[in-house]
Amino acid sequence: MRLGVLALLAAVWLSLSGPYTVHEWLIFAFGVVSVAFVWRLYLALDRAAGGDSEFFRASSWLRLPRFLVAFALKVAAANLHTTKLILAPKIELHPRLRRVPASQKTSFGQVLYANFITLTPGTITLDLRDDELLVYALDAESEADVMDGSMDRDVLRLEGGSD
Amino acid sequence: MTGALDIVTAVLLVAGGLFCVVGGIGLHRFSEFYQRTHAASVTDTAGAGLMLVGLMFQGGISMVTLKLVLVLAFLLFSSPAIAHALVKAAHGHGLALELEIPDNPEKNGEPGRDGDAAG
Amino acid sequence: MYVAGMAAIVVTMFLALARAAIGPTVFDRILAVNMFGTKTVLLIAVAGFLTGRPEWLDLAIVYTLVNFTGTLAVLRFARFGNLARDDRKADRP
Repeated sequence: MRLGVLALLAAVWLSLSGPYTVHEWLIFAFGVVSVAFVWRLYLALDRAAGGDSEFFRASSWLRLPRFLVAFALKVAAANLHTTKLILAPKIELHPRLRRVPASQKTSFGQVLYANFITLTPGTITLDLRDDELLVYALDAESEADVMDGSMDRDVLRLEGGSD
Repeated sequence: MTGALDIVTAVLLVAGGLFCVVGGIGLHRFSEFYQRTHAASVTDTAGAGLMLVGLMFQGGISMVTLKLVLVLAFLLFSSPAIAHALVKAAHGHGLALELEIPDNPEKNGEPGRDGDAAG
Repeated sequence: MYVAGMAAIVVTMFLALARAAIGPTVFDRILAVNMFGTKTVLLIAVAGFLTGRPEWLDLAIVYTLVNFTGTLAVLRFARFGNLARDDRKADRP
């Protein structure tokens, strides 16, 4: 995982600056230094977070495409629903707060789940505490998207835990 | 300016633009801050996503498409973080939530208030 | 087609600016300004393709990151009136 992040950083730097800079040693040195610095920062943050970022094992990368498809479909459906709410002749909202359990084992997985909910229009995460999310939803239908637990299962599946 | 790819791009760009405008309208039609964050999230996901994917069809398989993917990835990482930070700050600041069904959210103390480990 | 997309983006930017101007709370303004920033990123990307210079995407990437950091900094400043103080102590701006 840690070396994976290092490889990812290096790949991002190379793709943004172009592989040709390998020949220009000064630019390349700047790149090495910046990648090393960001990696060092990541290690410190990982330690501060309890070091349980074992979320992305190699197998998680293989499950990523399926998650992205599920993610895109859920977000698209929620977008259509929220668009309907916005364009309705009379704005009719039934806002509500709910506590939702986040069953992911790693904190990374829980944060991913919270971000998933926030990205989905119609629902937003107010707080994450004690394996529970405080979710604010626009109306019953948006709320049902979260309460049926399908997003939770999507993230769980990506996490590779109990399927 | 012809060809199937151009048509796909045009459709995606116009659809993304429509979602952007819808989000902008929602920003004005919704009456409360917390509701407006949902309208903003429409433009951040559907609007930006459709437009960038539409541009990817023009880029083909190249560095340009890779950069478009990076822009989209950064947007998808940053927008929920901003939305969450804003809503949590507003809630912690005491901006009232209009609720129809409170579902007893206060069961372990006032949520959203700062001053604990989660804040 | 690029022009149509850009027109939609500009309309959205004006709507966001209007919301930033009328407020009413500081959080509404920050939300609107963040949305304005996101639309700027899109505008740069589409304009790059319109003028046949996709290298502008580099600017779009940088703008995404600056927009993120900037919005968080403004939010923090709006809440605490200070960028460096320990936020546990002060809850009111």
